[in-house]
Amino acid sequence: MLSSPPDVRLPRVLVASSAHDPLRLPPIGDVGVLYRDIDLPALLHSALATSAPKAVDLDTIRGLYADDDGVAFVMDRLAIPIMITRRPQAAQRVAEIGGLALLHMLAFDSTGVARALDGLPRRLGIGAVVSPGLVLPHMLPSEVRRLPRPLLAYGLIMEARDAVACLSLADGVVLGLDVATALAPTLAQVLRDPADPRRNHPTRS
Amino acid sequence: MAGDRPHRAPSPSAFIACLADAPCCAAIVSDRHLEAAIEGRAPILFVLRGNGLELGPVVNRVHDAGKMIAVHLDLVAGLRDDPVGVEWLARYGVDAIITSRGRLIPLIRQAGVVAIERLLLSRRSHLDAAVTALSRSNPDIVEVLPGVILPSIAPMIPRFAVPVLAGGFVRTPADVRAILAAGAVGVTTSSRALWEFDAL
Repeated sequence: MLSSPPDVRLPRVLVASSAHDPLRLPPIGDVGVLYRDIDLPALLHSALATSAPKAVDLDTIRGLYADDDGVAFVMDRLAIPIMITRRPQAAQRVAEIGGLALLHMLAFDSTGVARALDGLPRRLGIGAVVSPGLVLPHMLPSEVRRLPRPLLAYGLIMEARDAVACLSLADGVVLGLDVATALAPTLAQVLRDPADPRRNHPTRS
Repeated sequence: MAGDRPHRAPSPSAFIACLADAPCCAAIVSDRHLEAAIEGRAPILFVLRGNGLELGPVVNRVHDAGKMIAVHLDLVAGLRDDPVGVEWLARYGVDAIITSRGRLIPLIRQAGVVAIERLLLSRRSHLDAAVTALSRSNPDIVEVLPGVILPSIAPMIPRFAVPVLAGGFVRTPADVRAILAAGAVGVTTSSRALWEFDAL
């Protein structure tokens, strides 16, 4: 199975941020920031001031287009190696320059997911995002097995049991800051658990 | 064009009433599904695939079986999701039209057809905007996708003034019961076993 490029690892928890100033991340352990729904200048300011692992939802950044130059800017100038996009061409470019691309799949029903999976590019450096992430525990094992890795569950995850269920199936989850803060003790414990399959193998392959 | 028999679309309340005993609508994604659904217990067929330009025989067969038919304007082939596409389906005698395009909902209602708007749930931050948009478009019915998560997210969304259907990843009787308990009046599913689900 394919996995991340060797130098890029996906944090187990990404905290979504649209803020101009750096977030104060909750003490979860393996945590990073996902920038989304933010203006390009604010992204520039916040990313350069943040030392935590960073990812960006490329298609939602106001002022930035997800083409080759946009990808190179995010990778080189902002030092953000993990990019979520719906555009296969942009994902290919991210992978080519050594980043980790996560192709965004909207999972509203099983028929749509099957069609999306048939069209996904499969190569090193391209994983997948399932939105809403909350649906992941409801997918069949055969559907989950077909998803490229690393796999990120993104959207509508608000309860501890849902976050833990998603973490048991995916390599990472996206949480809002309020949810991540509230669930921090639970998540920190889960991620310390020796039974966590990714504890010693940050990116499943 | 076929589907040219006189047919009066049901009122929204009549459309919903037929789900009382059999709350699972058949989501049709292939011809095989169509045959099975016509033979089965599901009272309403949701056509999500196929040629939207040649639906007449399908509409007639479904009506002959004593069932109702809803067609997804955005998903069937050959039709544009615009006012003329709405008119085309209405002339075929479909009972309901499904769309994610809120601007088409008033046109569907004007055409005398039950208007079902899909609410696609992906992120919490999108929920408020989606709910506001729904209140503007004023559909007869809202269909929430993916429906299987409705029990989890129901506390976050306001109670709709219109009936709610839920579809997407609904596979077991337990899923159906949980969705109905969360306030939906029915589900849409391509799982054929659920088409025989009995609410009583």
